[in-house]
Amino acid sequence: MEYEKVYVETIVRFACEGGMRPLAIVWEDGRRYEIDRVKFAERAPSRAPSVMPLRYTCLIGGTERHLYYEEEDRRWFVERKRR
Amino acid sequence: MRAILHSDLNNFYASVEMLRHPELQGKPVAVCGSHEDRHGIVLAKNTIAKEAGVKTGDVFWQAKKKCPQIIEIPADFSAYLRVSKAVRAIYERYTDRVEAFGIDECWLDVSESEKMFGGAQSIAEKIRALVKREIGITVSVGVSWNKIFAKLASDMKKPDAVTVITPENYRSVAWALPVEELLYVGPATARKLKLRGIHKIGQLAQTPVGLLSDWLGKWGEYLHAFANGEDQTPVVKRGEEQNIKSIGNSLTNYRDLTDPQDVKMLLLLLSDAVSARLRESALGKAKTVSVQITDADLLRYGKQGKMPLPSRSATDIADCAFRLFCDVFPWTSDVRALGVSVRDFTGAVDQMNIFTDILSEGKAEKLEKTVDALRKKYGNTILQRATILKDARLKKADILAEHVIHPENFFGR
Repeated sequence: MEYEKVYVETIVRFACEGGMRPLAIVWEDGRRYEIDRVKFAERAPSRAPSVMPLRYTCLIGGTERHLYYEEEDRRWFVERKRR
Repeated sequence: MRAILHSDLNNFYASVEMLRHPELQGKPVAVCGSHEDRHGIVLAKNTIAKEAGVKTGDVFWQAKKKCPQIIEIPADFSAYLRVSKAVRAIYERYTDRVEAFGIDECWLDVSESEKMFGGAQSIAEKIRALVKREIGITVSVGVSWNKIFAKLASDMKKPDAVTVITPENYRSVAWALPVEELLYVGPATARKLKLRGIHKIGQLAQTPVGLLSDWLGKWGEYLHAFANGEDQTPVVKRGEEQNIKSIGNSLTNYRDLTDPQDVKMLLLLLSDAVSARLRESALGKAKTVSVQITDADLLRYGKQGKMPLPSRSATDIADCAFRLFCDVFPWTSDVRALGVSVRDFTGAVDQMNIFTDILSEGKAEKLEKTVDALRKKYGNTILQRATILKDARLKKADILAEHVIHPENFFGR
């Protein structure tokens, strides 16, 4: 199975005490999805092409989704199965 | 007894490229220098390409001959360095005593911390799992009580494995390996030892020291100690950058060189790049210069020699390199690739010498510093040597920008 990466617009909160938390993502078609909870934030490889992203395991509408952050060019992406 | 780990990132460059190109999983891949003007030399390959016989140092078309489906990827050293640093950060969760050995290998001394983490082998297992989980590449870890055996162990099982050499098992595990597996036994030493019937590390260990030092000089004593697990060298806290043993640049020219003047020109171009990098570093001056030559039949020649006085001037390096070239190259065929490197650095503090003319040396140094500054501001090709202008295409070659990191086993192995 091959995965591609889809960059998504992400609304992020930077807390005073440091650190950041994604609050919502805006999908390609303009729909906005709220992130209910971030379960884990850790360094983990993606199945899509990327070197050392940070992986945020998020609850979005009751389902678990991985949202990735690339520190190098400061962009967020999700993986999508290639059709 | 100490607890030492040696961790080796498997097929490092190729593994990082697989993260970036997951679609290449299961296909033969070679990471190459720039392909234009024929610089495409294989710097690293994945396991599939290795099985097809592709070797580091092959020119890309050679690799293609051995393995027609091979896919070429240009090297991106800044990405490799970034991953290497992240892996080092994982090591540093377990100990602060981490010594880099090149970009993809490290020694860790966990003697003080092993009790906190349940033993050296358990740390090794944790590191192996963490690197895989967090970065997505694999490591082989060797565990032993000295650096030499730890390195030996990490080479035994690849990829993604932990191997332990203990005082109880080293006679059966380490001693059964061929001598050339031992660190610091290069091709020349291995040949000398084999001529005398020493093929295994065990045989080396049991040969009397006296005989070994007769054959190999002081290295005989060292190797005897290494083979018996008596190596005492400490793990020195050291970064990738400080661990520079040599600085070198090499170039496969777009055309084969047919006369000594051309060679001199290219050597000067390479020495220029080497000398600029040397001035940028804090390594001081170099004492030894070596040249590597590949001819049109892909035969390789190399020689090293000392400069009359330590220097970092491009002209001194080039003069010495040309002398070495004349000594070693028989001109049975034309010259395809040339490399110049310097080693044995004096360090940042300058030793005064009564034989040098300090004033003129100071002037030359000033001039080269000015050239460096100009090149930094306007690009490496802004100021060039007149000899190089004879060749319009070579003129465009920007050696300094092209070869940021020079793998040490570029020509040798």
